[in-house]
Amino acid sequence: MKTPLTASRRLLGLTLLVLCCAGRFIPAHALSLAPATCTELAQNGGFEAGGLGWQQFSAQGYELVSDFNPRTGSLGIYLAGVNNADDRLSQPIIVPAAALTVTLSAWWFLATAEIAGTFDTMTVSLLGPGGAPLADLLTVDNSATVGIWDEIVLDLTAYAGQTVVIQFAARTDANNISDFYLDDVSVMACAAIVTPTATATSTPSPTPTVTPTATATRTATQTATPTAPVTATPTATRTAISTATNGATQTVTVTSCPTVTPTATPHKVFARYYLPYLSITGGSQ
Amino acid sequence: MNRQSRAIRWLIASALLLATVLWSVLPTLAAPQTALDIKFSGVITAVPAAAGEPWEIAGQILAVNAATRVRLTCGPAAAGTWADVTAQRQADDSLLALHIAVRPPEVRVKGPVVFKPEGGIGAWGIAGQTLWVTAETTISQRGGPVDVGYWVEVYAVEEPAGTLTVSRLRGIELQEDVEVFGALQAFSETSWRLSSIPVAVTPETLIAGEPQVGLLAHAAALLQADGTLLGLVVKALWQEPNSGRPQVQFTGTVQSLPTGGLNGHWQVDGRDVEVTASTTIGQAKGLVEVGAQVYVTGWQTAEAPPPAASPVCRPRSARWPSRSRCCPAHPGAKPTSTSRGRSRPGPAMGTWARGRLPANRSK
Repeated sequence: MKTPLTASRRLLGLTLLVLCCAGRFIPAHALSLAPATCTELAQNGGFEAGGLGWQQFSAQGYELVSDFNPRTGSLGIYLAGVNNADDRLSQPIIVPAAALTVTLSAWWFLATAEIAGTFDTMTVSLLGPGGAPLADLLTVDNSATVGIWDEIVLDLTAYAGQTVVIQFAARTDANNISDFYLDDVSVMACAAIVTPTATATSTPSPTPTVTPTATATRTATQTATPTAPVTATPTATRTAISTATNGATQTVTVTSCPTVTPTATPHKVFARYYLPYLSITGGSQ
Repeated sequence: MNRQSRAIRWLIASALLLATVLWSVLPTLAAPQTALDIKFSGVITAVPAAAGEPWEIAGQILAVNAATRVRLTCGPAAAGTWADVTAQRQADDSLLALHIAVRPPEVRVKGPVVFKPEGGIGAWGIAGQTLWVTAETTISQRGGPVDVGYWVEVYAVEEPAGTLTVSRLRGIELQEDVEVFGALQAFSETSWRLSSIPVAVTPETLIAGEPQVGLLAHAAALLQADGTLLGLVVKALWQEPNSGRPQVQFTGTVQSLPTGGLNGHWQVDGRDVEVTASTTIGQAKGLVEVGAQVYVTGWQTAEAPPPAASPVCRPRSARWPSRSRCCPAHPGAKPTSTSRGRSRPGPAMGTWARGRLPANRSK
């Protein structure tokens, strides 16, 4: 039974969560998180120890740990990359009951031969200890931007006190292969109060401070959404990590360069389209 | 704990929550992202030396403010790295950056392997280009063999001298067109140069976006017998509302098709659509026919339909002069299309069907 104290703590947790969420909207340096109060729950999230801690399944028998395209270090995960793929990677996580925030984050990268539509997917799910599905947290697909690492950030706070299995599953259809790469998986449980450390002056810094993300170091910019336990829809948001240039020590002279002068002509009368690409997305109706 | 104490705790927590929400949302309200935002991708020329100073990307000076967000996806920002930008044009015609996503300067090429050195380390001929594979290059054959005659996707870094060093190389399915993604270093009416790779441009080439040196660009091209690339579609990654040729993409149902081929006027959901010989038509998921659902991307124009002289049917041998030399059929590949979709027996939905058509190209 939920006591008022517990409820209060949940509200405090929610506040903390929103503060974390606020990382999308405020410069990263405006937040500080006591690192000692956060615990990494994922084992071998950077995959530098190979498959240690992870369970792999590949319908076509591929080794999912790969040195082909890691984001950091020398190893990462390579899902799909073939037609009719069914690849899954999972790890059980014991989420502490005392955690005020629990955040799953991971970086992913897409390569695809699809030119339109959504046919190939990677889904982040939570399973129960026995493998029963608890929730699909997020599905990304071949329509995303190719060739760029993007971060997935999901709130798992609602699962505090439970043992869950996080799973990444990629599936492709019968043609136009997509590859899903994964690296730097983290499940961070925090029991700290996030203290806004407002900048000393009242003048906001127009350029956020540096938080290099080339390493697996996490920034306090997790995006999170209050979730309904078990029932499903913990939403996920692509993070816009509030980082900034590392140019603080550089001296750069900004020179005047040629500028694009887009023509601001109004929309034309005749709607006619020239097509660089046209793709059939379905059969006859 | 007494009731009063609990109430105070609730009050404090609620106030903190409310303040946090307002604090986090206000900057966003100040600079909402709208459909009128300019989106482009380009080479970073200069990163600011101090807070508040502008960025320079693809020749554009980008002012920043407290709402500007910078995302480092894989490494630090530096001159020479690339970025995807969302910005707003200000009243004085300057640009204010809303989002800057910094990405590594990674050139991508899809094409057939023409030659490779013994042992794999050294110069490879891929899609008519010379690319350098080193001991650090990682190779994946999961999607297909990485060998002479097969198609690969290359991720490479352009060295200062203009050479391309391959960081990753993976086998892929047989493609219809060579593809190049890189930085637009020069362009004219006859050629674009993308990260040191020249692509010939002709009147038949479909040109999308607003070309500008420093922008990132994508080209779909034909590999010709002499190893050069003939551009079919070249696209500079600059998208601005109210531009001369606003980009369009939509999904709709084919209502009518031209007679005697697929080149010409289509009607898709009541819209006039012009298809030329350079248009890529993907039929891997189904065939073009009246009633089929199609995804269309292109741009809007007020110009008259293209003159009849522009796209002409090119015989298969002319469009694939190098196929027999350097690109044998991919093992396991199902038969490719040999004619425009409507009149030929085609594969069932969802089967592998990728082939070049005499009058057009089919994916």
